[in-house]
Amino acid sequence: MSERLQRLTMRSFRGVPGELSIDFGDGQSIAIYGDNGTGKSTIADALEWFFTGEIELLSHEGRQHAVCHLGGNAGGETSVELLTSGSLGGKAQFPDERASETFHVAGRETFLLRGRTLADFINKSKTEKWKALAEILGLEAVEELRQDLQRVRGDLKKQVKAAGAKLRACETALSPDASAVSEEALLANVQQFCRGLGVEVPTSIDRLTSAVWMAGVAGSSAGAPGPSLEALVADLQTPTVDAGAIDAWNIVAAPEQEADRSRLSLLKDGEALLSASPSVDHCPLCGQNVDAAELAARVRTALTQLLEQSTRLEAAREGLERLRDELAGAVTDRRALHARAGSAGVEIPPPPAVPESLSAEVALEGAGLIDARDAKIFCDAIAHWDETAKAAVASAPVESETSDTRRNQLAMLADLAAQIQAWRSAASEQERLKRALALAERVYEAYQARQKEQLEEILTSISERVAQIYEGLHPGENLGGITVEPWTAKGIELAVDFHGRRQRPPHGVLSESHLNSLAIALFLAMAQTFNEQIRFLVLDDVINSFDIEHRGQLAALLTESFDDWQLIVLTHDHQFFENLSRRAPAWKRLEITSWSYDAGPRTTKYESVGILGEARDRLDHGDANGAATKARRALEELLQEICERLRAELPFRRGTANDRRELGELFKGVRRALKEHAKPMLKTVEPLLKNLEADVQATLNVEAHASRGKSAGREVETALERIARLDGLWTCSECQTRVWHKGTPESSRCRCGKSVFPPT
Amino acid sequence: MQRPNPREFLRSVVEQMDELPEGFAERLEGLVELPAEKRSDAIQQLIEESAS
Repeated sequence: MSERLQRLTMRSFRGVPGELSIDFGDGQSIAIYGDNGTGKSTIADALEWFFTGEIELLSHEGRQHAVCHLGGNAGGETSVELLTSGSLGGKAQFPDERASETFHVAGRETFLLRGRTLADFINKSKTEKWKALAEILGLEAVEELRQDLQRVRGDLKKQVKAAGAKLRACETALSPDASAVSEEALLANVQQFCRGLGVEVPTSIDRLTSAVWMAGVAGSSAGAPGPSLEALVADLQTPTVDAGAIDAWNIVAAPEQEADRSRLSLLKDGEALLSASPSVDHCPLCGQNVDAAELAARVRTALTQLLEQSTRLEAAREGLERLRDELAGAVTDRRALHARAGSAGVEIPPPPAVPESLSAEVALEGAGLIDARDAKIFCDAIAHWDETAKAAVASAPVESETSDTRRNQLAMLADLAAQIQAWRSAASEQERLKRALALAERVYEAYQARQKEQLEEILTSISERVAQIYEGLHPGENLGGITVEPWTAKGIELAVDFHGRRQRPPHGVLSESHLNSLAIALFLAMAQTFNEQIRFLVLDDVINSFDIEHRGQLAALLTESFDDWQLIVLTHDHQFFENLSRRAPAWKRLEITSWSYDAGPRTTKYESVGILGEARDRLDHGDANGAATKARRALEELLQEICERLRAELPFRRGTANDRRELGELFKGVRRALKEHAKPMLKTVEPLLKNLEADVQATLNVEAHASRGKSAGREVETALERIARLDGLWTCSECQTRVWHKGTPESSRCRCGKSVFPPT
Repeated sequence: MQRPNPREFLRSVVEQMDELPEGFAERLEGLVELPAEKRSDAIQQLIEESAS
């Protein structure tokens, strides 16, 4: 809901010692005029303090107390009370203990522009401008979330880096020569180690890093030392070559059997396909249309015919596989023995490797004939190695392997396994963190891109309005291309085209008043673009640097382009004030005529009745001195009003110093006016005036009766009654409106017409 | 012009992103309402869980 101000009441606040209310009607705009030092900025201060909890001018250390009027009544409150057309109103009291949420709306919306801080936004650095804009636009929350995402991304980057360092440390421990570490190589290494120690050989890295396997190794370490090196060497069995298996294989692998092998292979594939898809209507091999049942029968018949050959082939394959496993096992055992002997300081040459022709996978496809002599040579080499090993172990020192050595080796194995486990864990952790980082980066980059896009949309919107408003203030001047644009990652800046040259920022080419116009345009554009709840704008002395022509342009802009806003324009320029009033007759007007320490700002509106009420209130609370001060002020206000309304002749005084006339002068003025316009009335009133003059001397002079206690209270009461009687002479008892001399008897009547002046 | 709401803003971002983990966008949106001092930790935890 858009809200407007209806009534502002300040009590003992800044330049207001007592109470001052500003009536905004039902939310009308108002022009407020006052010379310097008359307290008009107190009105802007009150609104700033009410909506933001502080006054920027007083935000520096040691100035906060100045929210209160220095001469405020002891024990009286300092407060600002605001009535609005919605929910923004309320009462703020010093010291201000309102929660920060109270200022949420004003923190987001634009409502106050002061002459003294006019160029603040223009002069901010590009980063400060961005922050200010972010605050106004509510981008802060969006920006905070971006910072969260950035923080997450940064933390994950650090974690990935730390995980990488940990992984490299693990790899260095596993591979001191900096060669690449692979699971396969590590497993082979451990397997060899295990065989040498006679512990369970892990079949995979997963098994190696399992708790069960680790427990097994620990058990081996704590328990029996295992078979000795001598026993292991003694148990070596030289493999023998199964010549029958090689011959059988060579028969089925012979080239002349190739056609049958191919046929057999093809038929087996065909049968498998027919079994998988029994309802095919075409041959799965050649694609011709066939009857599936007939095709299956034909395949089976052909297979039966080749059954004998198939059986021979399978038998040959199995025989060859057994031979291959036996030869490979012989080599593996000897490698383990070699490793164990090496760890025990016994030098044995490495065992021979299985010939390639005997180690290949046994398969029909591409199978070649095997030379039985290769197998024989290999077996002889193994037998020779066995003899060498036996001799080496026999000649080695007796204490070559002790139970301590074995325990140490088992401990080394356990350490190695633990290192492998740590390496795998570090690799896994790094992978996990890399995936998380990739996701965090995707989200962050998408977020940042959207944020940039949105900022550009906003800036484009503001730029158009700023340019439009500036053109209203400076029509026809050679300045174009006014934009608010992004500058670096976290900055925005104003830019203009000046005689065809781009200027960003524009400070180098624009005068102070042009920069101030730009600031006013930016302020108004921000409010137009982004204000949702606040529908009023306070402009406090913003025209100081403007010449008369541009003051007129601003008055025109405000009254014509912002007629759907409530504007509170405070100025010390009477011409600007009159200009606004002429252009917008519907606006309210308020002239602050003077300021005094005791009474605060005085306006052209007389407040004698209200001040009289305050005096009675003080008296009811036992404050005779306070009541006397207020009574004197009420009398002064009433006599001034009578003098003005009856056009009393008073001695000429330069300037607008009527507010500072003595009470004696005012009494004389009242008598002169009555003598001229209502002589009979003067006779009636004269005793009252004399009594009031005496009251002023004796009772309403606070210093004179300051210590007279209860008797002073009664005298003040009497004086108050007399002032009320004098006030009542000019007020219709029926309609309560004033009645004065206005030239003709008809015009000198009250609103209801019952009372006339002079009274009959 | 409407001020951006962080939750809606985030939604507009994640809606444009392909192949996010199941339920990630909704859970991330939910974290926007957390107090500022807890938010980044919660986001990091969600991202790590989702990437696992």
